Amino acid sequence: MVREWLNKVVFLFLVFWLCFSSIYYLAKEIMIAGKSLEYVIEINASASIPLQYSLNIAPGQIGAKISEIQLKKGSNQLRIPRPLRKEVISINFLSTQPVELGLSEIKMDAFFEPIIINGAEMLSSVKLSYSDLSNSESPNLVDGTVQVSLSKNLNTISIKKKVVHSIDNQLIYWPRVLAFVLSFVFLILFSVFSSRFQKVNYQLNFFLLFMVLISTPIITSKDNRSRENRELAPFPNLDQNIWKIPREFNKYYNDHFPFRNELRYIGNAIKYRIFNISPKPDAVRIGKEGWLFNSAKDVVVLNQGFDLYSKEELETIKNNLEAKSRLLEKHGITYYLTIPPMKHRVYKEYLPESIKQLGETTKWEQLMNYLKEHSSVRLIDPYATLVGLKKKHVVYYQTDTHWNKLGAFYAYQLIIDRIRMDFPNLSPTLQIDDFVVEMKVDSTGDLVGLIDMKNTFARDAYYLTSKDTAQKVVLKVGSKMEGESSYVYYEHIDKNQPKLLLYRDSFSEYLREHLAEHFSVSGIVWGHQLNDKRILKDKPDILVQELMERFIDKLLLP
Amino acid sequence: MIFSSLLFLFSFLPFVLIGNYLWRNIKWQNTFLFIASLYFYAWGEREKVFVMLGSILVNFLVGKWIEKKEGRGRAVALTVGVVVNLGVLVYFKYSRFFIENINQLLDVFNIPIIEGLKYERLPLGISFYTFQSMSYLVDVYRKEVKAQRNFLNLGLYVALFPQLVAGPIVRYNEIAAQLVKRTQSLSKFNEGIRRFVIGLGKKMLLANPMAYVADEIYMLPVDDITTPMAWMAAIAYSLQIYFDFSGYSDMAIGLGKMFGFDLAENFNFPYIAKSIREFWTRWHISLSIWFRDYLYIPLGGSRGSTLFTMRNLLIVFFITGLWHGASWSFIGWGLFHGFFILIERVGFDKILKRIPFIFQHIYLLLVVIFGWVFFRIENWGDAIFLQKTMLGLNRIDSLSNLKIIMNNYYWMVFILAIIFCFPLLKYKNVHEKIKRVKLIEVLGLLLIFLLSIVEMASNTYSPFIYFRF
Repeated sequence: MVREWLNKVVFLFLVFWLCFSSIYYLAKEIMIAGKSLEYVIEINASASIPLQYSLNIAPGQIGAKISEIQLKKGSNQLRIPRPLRKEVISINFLSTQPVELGLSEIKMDAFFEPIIINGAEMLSSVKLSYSDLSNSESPNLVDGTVQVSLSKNLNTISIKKKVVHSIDNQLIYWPRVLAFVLSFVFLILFSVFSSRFQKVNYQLNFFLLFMVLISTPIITSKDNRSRENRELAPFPNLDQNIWKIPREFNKYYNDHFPFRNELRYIGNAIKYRIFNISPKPDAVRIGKEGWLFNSAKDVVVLNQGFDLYSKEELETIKNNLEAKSRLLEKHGITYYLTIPPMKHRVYKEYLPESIKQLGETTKWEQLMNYLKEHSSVRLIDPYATLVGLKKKHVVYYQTDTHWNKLGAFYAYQLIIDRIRMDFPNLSPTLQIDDFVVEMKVDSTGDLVGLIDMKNTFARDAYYLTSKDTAQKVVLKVGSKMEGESSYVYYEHIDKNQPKLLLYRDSFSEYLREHLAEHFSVSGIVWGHQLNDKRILKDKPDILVQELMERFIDKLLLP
Repeated sequence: MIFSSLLFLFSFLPFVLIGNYLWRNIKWQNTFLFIASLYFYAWGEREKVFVMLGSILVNFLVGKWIEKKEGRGRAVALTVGVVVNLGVLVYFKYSRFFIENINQLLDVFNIPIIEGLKYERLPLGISFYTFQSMSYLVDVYRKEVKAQRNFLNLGLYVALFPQLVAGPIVRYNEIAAQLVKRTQSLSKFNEGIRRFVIGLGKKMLLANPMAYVADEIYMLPVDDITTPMAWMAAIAYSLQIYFDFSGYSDMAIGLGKMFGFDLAENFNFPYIAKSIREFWTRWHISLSIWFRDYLYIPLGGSRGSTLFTMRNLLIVFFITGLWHGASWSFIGWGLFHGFFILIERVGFDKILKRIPFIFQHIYLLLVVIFGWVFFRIENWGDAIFLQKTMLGLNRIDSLSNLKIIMNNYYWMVFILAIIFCFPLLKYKNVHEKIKRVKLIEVLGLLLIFLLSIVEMASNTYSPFIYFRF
């Protein structure tokens, strides 16, 4: 008896699931078809200014189209079309001029009635950020309006996920109700009138369960959320060589598979919580106390220390560097080299067993010792300083490959101190006391992004805000040359300082702004290969090459 | 398309199941399944589907031809058919290997080598479907079956997607009746689901992690692999190949059942065998039977002198090796097994039977595991070096150790995989008992299915590796 009832309940549940999913899917598709959705935002401005706005669409900035309108003093209505079948992460505004803005509501016309989010509901999701990455204050609520004051030069206001997702959820309210009611009615009719219902048994449920499992993805909307920092594969172009379509469709299908992200979260949780291992061991390994480490093949090999430099290779690097230095000297340029060590070096105590250093030494250690003993190259090695600092502070991000702003700041001090030995007239090195230092805990970072486990791991993020509020340098974007990933430059108001050219990789992100304080012009090239055209054009007095340990082998090339 | 892909499981399979049962009419089902199978094959193999279609057509015509002839003509027709099938196989699979070997020979005699040839991409499953086609021709020749009158039915026999790309090798006389009439029932369908889910689990949850372990170790330079690592890699690979292949066979058999077909079993716990001879009755059974019926027995089998039998056995194992792939390491692996078969035949089997059974198992496992090293490692010298390392004959001065590769996850899978090499569920009818407690059966299968899907979905995750700035 009990078994019979159980079979019936399970059967009804499975049939209900099939009905509900299919109707809901169809209703949603019909609703979206031929409809244009837009966010209508009420904004009160204290002055008449141009305002740029964009939608942040997953993944990251890809797909963000920036538009501009002229805000008039007083109330304005802004209409932003919402792209269909994309995940909107946030709505952003950017003002180049100081202004007071009041956001009173966001509206969207939906099925039967408009969806409205008022100021009070919006408050916790409105975030303010400054272009110099300094710490920002929170907006406040006045008369049901979110008030934000944009006081600096470049400010961004973002209306974050919570609000945007809440609108999306309300949008699908009616299809959901419709699907629920129809399925329910169908079930009642079926169970009352169908004779088959009386014959429901385990065999039938077993079969039905399998069919439900394998067909649910067909009657579920495609998942268009990207968590991979890349554009998801598009639907293949059908108007092409027919034999090429399957491969492209495969990619599209896999990228948009419903529940794909949820399934992966389950996998990640099992691998991490039960076995304490990384879900993507070829990219990231999980160390002790929540420290993540890059485990790309080249990084692991570099750190294990199996593969070492021969005496000849060390000599080659030394000769290359000295030749470079001499050549630059001839043009009146002083060359400095700094090699930021990998996190594996500075925080080796947190490394997991699987990627520990096994050899007695490493390429990096060999090279550092060799250059210090045998070479005249102006080498700045931040290793000892960083290791000294880590007793009191965290100097690398736990969830990222790179050092944090504090670690970078002390490396900056080393670099300028060293340059000042040759250029005593350079303005004095900034001290940590010149800044207000704040520490916040968040959970972003490149490594945690690679395994998509934000909120599982946290990092200590320091913010350094200069006490001196006068703005002395301006950042400008220059045009890049062949072999350069990007080229920007800083101009200083003091034109009597020497000129700098910095060859960099990602470790310089937090260095460059500090360095720029000391030079009349600081050219910043993203790349490792020095380019004589660039050098002859910029005519620097000082050339600093920053090259992280991971790329140390590039020094073997002249 | 492979069975363990999201696209197959959640898009192709549901549509094909629904399409098949839309109309329970054998002609409709055969037509529909044939088209679906061609679609399945063309999805991954593109224009190579025409190779298969051509092969089916030729075999269809030759089959009728054989049937019409008697006496010498019949033998000629069969010979033509076999030569065409082998020709296709050789052209696509072995031409590069043969030419390379001929060139090496020419090089010795300073004759100019053959250059500038373009080799075809190997069509997936060609070894399987040409063997099936040949079994059809031979069965017709032997008058065991009638030649197929319907092109569609022969096409379905060759191309039926569950067994198309990785077996089991279905023999025509086993399935001829099912092409015309097959039983389809809910309980058979459910049996199919069980087999399929178990096969999927073997592939995703056991074989894949073991493949990772073996690959990580074999990726290292051979002289960096210590004795424990060499053992781990060899055992992990043995587990990988077993669970991968038998998992795929389970999925094929399960899918067959969903459509009403009964395909032959392909594996029967090979690692519990007590001799190499027994191993080959438990490993890739459909291939062993094929070779027995269509090669070994026609060669004369064991009806002649001992020397004659040994010659036949060596030929069979040479071909078995070659069938697995066009390289000397596969041939070496085949002959390695052949060698132990010979030893067992000339009397070692009698000694084996007298020693405690545990030693019989150890003997079998050692031979098989060392054999897999030949199979996995392409370079002959490296394979022998690794085998020496396993025997402790090399002094390995390496900084690597097992800890780099293994963590508790891989250890757990390793132990589970070893446990599942034994027929635990058959022991004292555990399987039947589990089936009776339906809740446990459903939850167990559901868990295997979900974990496999989780693995499949995780494998599609390929973040853009970037620098943050």
